Amino acid sequence: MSNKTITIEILRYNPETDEKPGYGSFEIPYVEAWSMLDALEYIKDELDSSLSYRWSCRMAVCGSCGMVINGTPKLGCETFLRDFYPNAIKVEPLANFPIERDLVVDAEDFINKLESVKPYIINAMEKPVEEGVNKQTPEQLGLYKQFSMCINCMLCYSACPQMGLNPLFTGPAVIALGHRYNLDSRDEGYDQRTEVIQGKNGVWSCTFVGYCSEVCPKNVDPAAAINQNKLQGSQDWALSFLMPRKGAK
Amino acid sequence: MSRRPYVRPMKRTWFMDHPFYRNYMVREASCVFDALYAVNLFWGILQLREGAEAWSSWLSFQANPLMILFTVVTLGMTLYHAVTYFDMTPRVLPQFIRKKVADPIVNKLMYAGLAGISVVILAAAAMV
Ligand code: SF4
Ligand code: FES
Repeated sequence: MSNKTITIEILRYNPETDEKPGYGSFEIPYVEAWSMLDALEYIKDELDSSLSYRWSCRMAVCGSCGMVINGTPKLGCETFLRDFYPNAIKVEPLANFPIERDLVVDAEDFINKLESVKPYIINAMEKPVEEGVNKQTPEQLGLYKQFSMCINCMLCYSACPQMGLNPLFTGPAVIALGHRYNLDSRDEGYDQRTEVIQGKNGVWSCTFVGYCSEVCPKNVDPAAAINQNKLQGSQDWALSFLMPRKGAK
Repeated sequence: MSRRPYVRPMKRTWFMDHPFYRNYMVREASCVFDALYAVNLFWGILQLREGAEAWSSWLSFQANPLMILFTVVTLGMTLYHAVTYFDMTPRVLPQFIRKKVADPIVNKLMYAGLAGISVVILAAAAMV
């Protein structure tokens, strides 16, 4: 290890002793290959074992390690110290979520929203096994594939100011996932998802700031999903006048 | 161990914290200038109904340096709004269209549409 060092400032919060969060500063060895996750691991192993943060896969797949690094929501495992050195790096928990402890946020509300949009294939009629599998062409797959790449890292929720202004907002990733199933040729759950997607805290809480899509590590483009649903919702609304039965079903 | 999740309050100046938010706010604010300009135009139409004198006083009011400055700023704001709006709009199209026509093409078509409409309006104005 060289003797170069780098300073990491972390927003700390211990619910048992702290009234509110405050910054703690750590000077650690600078290693070019280290990700932010490696840095946090060093701090936990060598400097302060009480540091709390989430991680699992270390390869931008599990979505556990979301944090705000120098003001931008990022995955800790794919953010590297070398992109900041020699400057100090500021690390905070994801914005717009209650802080449980240090970099760990409370995701319960997000999980509830995720469930509310019914993120699974809904069929009006169960198909007997004898009838074989549901077929889907590559084009049909291509229609929703992008929206199925979400890893639930919640970076988009941290990026969304409307989320902070209206915590009831269903939010980018959840709407993108609902959209993913609505676009799936095997799915018939569109009407069941409408209440959430078009409801009071659905897509209309979005003002198309667009930063969610900017920070998404998987190019899901949740802002596109939300705003495609605004267009769809307006169409449904206009159609409901022409064909009241269809709109009301 | 007891849970005591800490909710950070949202700052009133949250949009100053990040360049992306600042640009967003400028885009949103640009419509204020357009709204004021629309009021000005509407006022002009009312003056036109009032008669020749009222109309020419409205016209000379437009020549006021402050009004010219306001008009130039409004034009700049409108162009900024158009550019950012055209950048975002292709993504709003239904996904089956997006799969067929690439976003940059839709973006260029919107500029073509804007140019077409501007030509028609300018030609109509020139004929009067
Ligand atoms: S949409 Fe993107 S940023 Fe949002 S949770 Fe999914 S992967 Fe993360
Ligand atoms: S540790 Fe799994 S996404 Fe970063």
